[in-house]
Amino acid sequence: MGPGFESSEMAAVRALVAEMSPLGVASVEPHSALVAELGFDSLGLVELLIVIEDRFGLPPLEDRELLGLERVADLEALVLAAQGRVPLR
Amino acid sequence: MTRPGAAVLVTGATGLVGSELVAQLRAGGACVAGTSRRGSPADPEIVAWDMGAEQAPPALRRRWDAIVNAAANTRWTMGEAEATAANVASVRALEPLAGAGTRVVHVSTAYATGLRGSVESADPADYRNTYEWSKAHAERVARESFANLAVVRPPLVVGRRGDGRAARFAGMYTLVRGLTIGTVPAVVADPDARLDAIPVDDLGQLLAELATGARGGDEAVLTIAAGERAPRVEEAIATVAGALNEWRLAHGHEPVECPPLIEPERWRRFHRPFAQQHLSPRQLLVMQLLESFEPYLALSEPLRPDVEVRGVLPCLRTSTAYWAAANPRVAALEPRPWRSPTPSATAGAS
Repeated sequence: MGPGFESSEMAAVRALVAEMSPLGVASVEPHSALVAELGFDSLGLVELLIVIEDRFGLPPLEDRELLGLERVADLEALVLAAQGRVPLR
Repeated sequence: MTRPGAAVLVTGATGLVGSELVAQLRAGGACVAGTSRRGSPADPEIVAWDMGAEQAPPALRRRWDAIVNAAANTRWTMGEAEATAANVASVRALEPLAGAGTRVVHVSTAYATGLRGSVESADPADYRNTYEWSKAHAERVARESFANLAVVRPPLVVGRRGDGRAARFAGMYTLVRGLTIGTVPAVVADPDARLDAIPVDDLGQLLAELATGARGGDEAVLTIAAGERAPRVEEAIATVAGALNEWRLAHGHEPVECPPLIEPERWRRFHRPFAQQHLSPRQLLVMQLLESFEPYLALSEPLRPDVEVRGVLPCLRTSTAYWAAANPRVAALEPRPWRSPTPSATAGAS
């Protein structure tokens, strides 16, 4: 699985985030802020994590990371780390 | 009487209440402009304005027949500074826009009278949370600022009566969402407590009537609620769970369980200490969100409405169904069992 696969998976993460954004945005970027720009509340972030776990067949993502999620890129990093692709910083 | 073409400004125009009101006012022939913190790409008449932090944009400095202040942060867990900026400074920011003939309609909450039954106290201890405290303060500021004022106090607001449509999902929807993702082990409530919730179109109609003069201006403060007709909490939760499960079964998913009711004292003495020791941070976060409901689910004394709303249970059903249809990925999630914190999912990754 090369960079192309990762890139398509990250695109899938972004599509999920856009679909679930309470503000109904058409698309999101890695730097998009989950709360301030996309309108997620605390419960919305939990929902997002669970949906991503289901969608990618991941074990429960690190709960301690939940409150540290600020941008879409943070979420992408969590998914890659949970898949064992890259270590979580 | 309604005046077609009346110039009406609606703040919080993309929110649950504001968006419904804008639609109703426009359908009635009013000339409506709106504000929201982010504006609206879909509606050029809704301009971006962070009311708690900025002066009004020049485009809004014109004559208004009516201003309806539906902007609010309804989160019950805000700090005092955040609550004041969101719910009090925003009222002061409207002062320069209201002329001598402007009718101002301020949307408050049925719970702004806090624990003492009055909005006069400035002491946070007299309220259940900073939301109530700031909304009481906002009412006092509005009373001082606007000569031609009506204050409307609703309880929880859900989607439209007919189709359940809602622009935002907060308040009661937190219970629905918690139920769906399997993070509600129990609902902490007094067995006699009622869940008073009204459909957003009933509220929108009252606000539109007050703004356009279709309803007389001699009522300064109006509580709109179901009051004694509000369902008991157990009945409301069963209705919500039933509507959710109807959607799930229709889409090929197993039903979720309806959580039991636990009395507040029993929860505090036995269940809460256990939860704090054994639940994951994710579960605890959701429990904290749901705990903010607790004071409202312990109110056995019904609200006393000036405008009585009927037929709440069917509204809860349609609102839940609309939420599920609008959030199919979350509504379809398989319930997750309550469990102890999981070991790190990434610690062993290489």
